[in-house]
Amino acid sequence: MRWLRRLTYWVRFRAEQADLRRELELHQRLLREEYERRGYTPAEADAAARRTMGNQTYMREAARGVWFPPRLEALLGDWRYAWRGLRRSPGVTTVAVLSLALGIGANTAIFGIIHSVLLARLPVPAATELVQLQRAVPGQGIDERFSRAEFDALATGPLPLAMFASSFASLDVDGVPGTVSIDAVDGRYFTLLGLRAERGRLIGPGDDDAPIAVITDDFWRTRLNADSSVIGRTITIDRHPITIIGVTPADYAGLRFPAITDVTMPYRAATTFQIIHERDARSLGVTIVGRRADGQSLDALAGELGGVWRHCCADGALASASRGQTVTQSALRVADISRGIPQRKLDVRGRYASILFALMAGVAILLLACCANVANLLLARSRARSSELAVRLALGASKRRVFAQLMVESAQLALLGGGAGILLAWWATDVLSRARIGDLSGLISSTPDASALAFTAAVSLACVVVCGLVPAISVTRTDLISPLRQSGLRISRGTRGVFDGMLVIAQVALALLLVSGAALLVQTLRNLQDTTLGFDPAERLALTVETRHTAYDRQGMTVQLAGEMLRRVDAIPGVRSAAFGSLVPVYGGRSTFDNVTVRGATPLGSDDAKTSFTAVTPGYFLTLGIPILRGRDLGPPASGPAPATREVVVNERFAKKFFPNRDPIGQVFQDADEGDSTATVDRIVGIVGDAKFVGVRAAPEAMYFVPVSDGDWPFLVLVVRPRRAARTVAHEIAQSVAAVAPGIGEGDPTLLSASVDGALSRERLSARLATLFGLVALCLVAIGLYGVLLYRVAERGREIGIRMALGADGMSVIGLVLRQSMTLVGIGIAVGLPLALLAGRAVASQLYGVAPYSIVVLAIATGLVVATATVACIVPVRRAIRIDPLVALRSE
Amino acid sequence: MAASPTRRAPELLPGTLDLLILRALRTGPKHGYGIAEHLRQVSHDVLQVGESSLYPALQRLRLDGYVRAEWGASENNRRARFYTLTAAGRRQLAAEQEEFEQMVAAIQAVLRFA
Repeated sequence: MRWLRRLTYWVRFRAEQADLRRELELHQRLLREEYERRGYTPAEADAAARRTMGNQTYMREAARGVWFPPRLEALLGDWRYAWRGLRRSPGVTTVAVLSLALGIGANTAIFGIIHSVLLARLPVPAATELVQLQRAVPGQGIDERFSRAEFDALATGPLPLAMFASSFASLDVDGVPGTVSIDAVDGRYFTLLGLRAERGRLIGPGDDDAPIAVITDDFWRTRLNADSSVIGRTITIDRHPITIIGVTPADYAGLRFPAITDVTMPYRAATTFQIIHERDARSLGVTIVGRRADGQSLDALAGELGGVWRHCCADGALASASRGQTVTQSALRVADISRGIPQRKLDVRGRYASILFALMAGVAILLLACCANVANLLLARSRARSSELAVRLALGASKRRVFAQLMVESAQLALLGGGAGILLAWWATDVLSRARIGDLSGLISSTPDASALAFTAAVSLACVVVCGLVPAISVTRTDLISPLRQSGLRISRGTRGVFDGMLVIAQVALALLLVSGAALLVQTLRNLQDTTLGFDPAERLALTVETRHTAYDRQGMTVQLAGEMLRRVDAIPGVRSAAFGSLVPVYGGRSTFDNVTVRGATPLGSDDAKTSFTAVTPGYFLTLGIPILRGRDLGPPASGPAPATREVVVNERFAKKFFPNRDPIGQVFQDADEGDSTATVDRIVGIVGDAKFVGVRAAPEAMYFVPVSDGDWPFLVLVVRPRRAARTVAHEIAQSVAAVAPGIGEGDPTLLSASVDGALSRERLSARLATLFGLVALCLVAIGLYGVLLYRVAERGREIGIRMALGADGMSVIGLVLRQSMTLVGIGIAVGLPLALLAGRAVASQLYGVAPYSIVVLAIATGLVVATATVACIVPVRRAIRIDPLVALRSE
Repeated sequence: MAASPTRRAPELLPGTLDLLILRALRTGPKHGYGIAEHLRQVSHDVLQVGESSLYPALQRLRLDGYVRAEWGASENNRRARFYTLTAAGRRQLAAEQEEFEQMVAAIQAVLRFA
């Protein structure tokens, strides 16, 4: 019950203080009245009453003290004292808190990206147990696809297995069209994953033929507006009504990485509806996943399944058909997919791994710099307090009390810095998750990673506590006399000066490294943005029209189909021109190569002769803004049998490469597939400018353009140059395409300029994050230098005062401070420059149009560091010249 | 009742303040000033409880649960905090009183023999 009364008191603390104060006031008044009754004058009575009451502050403290255990009271005392100390030196406090906040916040946010992209596990229970079956086909590498027959055979083996196949399909939700990413799964799939429905239920063994679907939480929120009566609702997928029976847990979006699944359906129903295309049970297309027993090795597992697999391969009725050939020899492999099944086509991890690891190194460096700063400040402060501590010890304070007090001070800083850091981490993570960074957008989690936060916080806070205790250790160990004596004149010098100097030097070096790295990456991004593309992406639309996995699969994207689409698109009033191409610059498409030979010229090696060609319709160059330099565009498709020679257009490089000294117009060359016996004869009718087809970085290569009418294409890209703003006609274009062949376009066309932007997303991310790092590093330099100089000025205040008294003018005092800081900065730059050169070499492969050892970049980085350092000097310098010699001397 | 405020009161025996306060409250709820006044009158000005120890002692008794504090109107209709003896307080008073009497008896016995 005592604790309850104590608690009540603490809760009512303010009210209790007021009660006591009123009680004492009444007491004093009653005393005064009593004295007046005895004949005192009012003034005498008042004085007497006061005298009787005694020391009220003391009394109140004693009364309050009753409610606090003595140790807690001491702690509270320390707490208040430390708080006053922090407020007394707001500069040091702010700087330490900022350092901690940056160290914790920025690092956690950046680590969050690394975690989401490289390290995050699949959001299913015991994800480390999940495996995927693969086959190694001799001469063809690894194949991840199996046939359904093979799955059925393997499922009789010792490992619990499930399978899925993925596809895209058209979607219609209450008249709103779109595209969905579909997983088609067997009845054991969700049980194997160990998932439970967030709403409704998941697909189970009895659902094979049902027209039902389970949707992801994200799909439910974004496309169905988090409809609470979603269970039982019908959506249209590829024109088939499908009933929603459940919602998967938040974060789950299939097993692939990046996770893109929207809708999951039963496999058999999906094949019946032609949403997933399966010619027969032996065609390849399903991905097999399994769950291994805890601790079972992947090789052992592959061995266990080997028997069943050999049986599969030997059985002609079972063995899958691949590229027209029955696969009889392949070894089964088991792969860990705890972090998802990487999508070869996107390969986000592969493309971002190097930059993310560079970032991780940056994170570590910054964390180090933050800790160095905090250490620096705390050591500076503690040094200034060594005499105070000595006095306290000399007056009889126990070492334990002194220790406890310093501990409390550190804890306060840690709490403030940690709190600010957590807030910053939260904010920065949120901002980063919403920033659209190419194909990373949507991947980054919007809440900070708990383990990263814990780690950075623990490191920074441990640094605070350790540094906070250093003075306690040194003071309680040494004798008390020397610190007391030291309050005499001192011209500062000593080991600590060397130490904090080294911290500043290290920070300057790191900042130079990071800033020059950032400058290189920013310059790279600018160069790439300004690079000549050879075509005009502004306000051009592109739409991939794919016949694979559709009703038109067998016939391909025929000339008739393409022609009909072009007619319809051309008829839209807002369209200036439109064309098809098998490949569109930067946007993508299908790369095709043939070996080119020119009669009469020395034959080239097959690597040199191999030349990329693109199938286009007339008007392709006009639509894309690729200039026709000489000759003419391809003519309209000829009716009747194909002529013996085909008309082609070549680019400038092609002309220079194959016809170096001749006019290429009218020239003839042959192209043939590697090993193909019949060659096509091509006649050049025009030369166009070089355009960058593969990304923004790669220089244009020799290529030629053949008429689309020459063959069938599994998919083509429609490019449109609108008359007015591209957005206004985008949907009309999609509708025209859909009117010709429903379900074969991938939604609305996208802007080519967006593709160009997207192609630079990695560079943009590198440049932005490196800039962020550089800025943080500069801030840290400023903070660190500021702290050290301020401390040194304070420590040498007396010396400066004496110098001024002896006739030193303001300039020489400024020189004194600046000399100190510039010596540190100079050494830092000397150390940092070679490091910056090394860093430049490390990122050389990422650079474009700028040398890794660019003098300009290094000069800019050095300038920035020096400028920052100069700014950091302003306050310490002002404080130094404001020192009053008289005050300095009198304080002796 | 002409006790001069400057006159030095005899020291209280240690540990007896709580006992005296509890005893003063047995006759009914009193506020702080009332307790001090009561002790002064009953002891004919011999016992003067210093204000500086009275209030901490009252808080201690509250913490121990021997008294309860409530705001109420004083005789002159002023708001004052009245302290009331609780059941636990009564038991404690009885125990302390007995203990104190035994000790006093013992001390007196020693003093008589000496």
